[in-house]
Amino acid sequence: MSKKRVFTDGLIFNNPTFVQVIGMCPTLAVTSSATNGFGMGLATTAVLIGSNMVVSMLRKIIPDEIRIPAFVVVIATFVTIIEMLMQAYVTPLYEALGIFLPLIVVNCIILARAESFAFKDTVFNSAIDGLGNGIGFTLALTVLGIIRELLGAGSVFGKTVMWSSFEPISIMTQAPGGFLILGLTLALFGSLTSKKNNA
Amino acid sequence: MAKIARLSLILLIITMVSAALLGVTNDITKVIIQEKAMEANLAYMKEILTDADEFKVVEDPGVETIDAVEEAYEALKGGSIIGYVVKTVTSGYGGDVVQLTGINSDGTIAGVRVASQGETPGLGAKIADEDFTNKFIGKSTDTQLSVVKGAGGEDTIESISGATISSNAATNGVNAAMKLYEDVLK
Repeated sequence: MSKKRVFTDGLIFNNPTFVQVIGMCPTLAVTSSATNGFGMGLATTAVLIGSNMVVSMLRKIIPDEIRIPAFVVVIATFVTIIEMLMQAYVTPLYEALGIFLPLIVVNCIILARAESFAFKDTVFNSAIDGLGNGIGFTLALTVLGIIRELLGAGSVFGKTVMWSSFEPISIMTQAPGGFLILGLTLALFGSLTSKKNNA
Repeated sequence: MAKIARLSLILLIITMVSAALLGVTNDITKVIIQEKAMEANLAYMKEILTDADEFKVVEDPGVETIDAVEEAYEALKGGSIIGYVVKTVTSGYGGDVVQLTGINSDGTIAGVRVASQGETPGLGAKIADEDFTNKFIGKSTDTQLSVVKGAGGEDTIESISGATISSNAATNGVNAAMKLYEDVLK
């Protein structure tokens, strides 16, 4: 598979949120605001690239039978180290991400990409796969975050943009709204990309 | 049998390396993190009690007796006490709510700052906004506050619409600070 294809797969054609439909838990929890969605996406991308590279580097050493526990240890260690470094050296960003940073450990996307790609491919390709999936995830989260924040709180990235008499549909920032917007956006994405594929 | 031994050994090595890396990183960052936390809290405390030039930790074991209170500081100006700041931790909707409550020497609330919270953005997170924290200013420490729907009064705080749990958590924190002042610090 060409390097470009690896990247665009993660970004669009095999987008983790809208095509693979994985990592749903943090997606729903974090997209109540655009800033949170974007921040979480970036942090996850960093972890994805890193863990994909480490898993790929160790792929000849880790026996097949214990690969899952090995992946989990690698990912959890990675996230924890990044957490500690961020808390010490970029404290404002760390505070902004808050609880979403440790949440990355349980993000299925990381385990899924380690299992289905990094364990079977070279370090460089794995890094690209991590980058593509990460950016695809970030885009998905940011789009969802913008929609939910706009409808549910009348603002985007914290800045109020709706007219003052706008009554926020507060269910949009809560779980049911999350599901609704996710489903609708997923359907829209599907119809747009299928047109592209058929064209 | 040998296979299981080999698998276990490899897993052991992986986890040992992990633990070592984590330990090293923790050692490097621990002190910096503590200092940064102290700095941030200090900045808030100066905002609440602007006249103070020094804050000293209260060593009194009585501080530990009040639920939700984590630490208390004397606010000093030129060596004499002009007030107190109490750090409290209460359970909000999305985790701990850490607050700093400033109390003047006349027993009124000087101000409240939320040091950290994980409440819902646009709803419970409003407990950190000035609009909400200002509601506590001037309240007397002799009466515990309660949260009500609708306009607040002398001993009541208006709840944030759609965020009762968060509003309660914030008010509980201030109440704990007031209790500490009345029972121990005064």
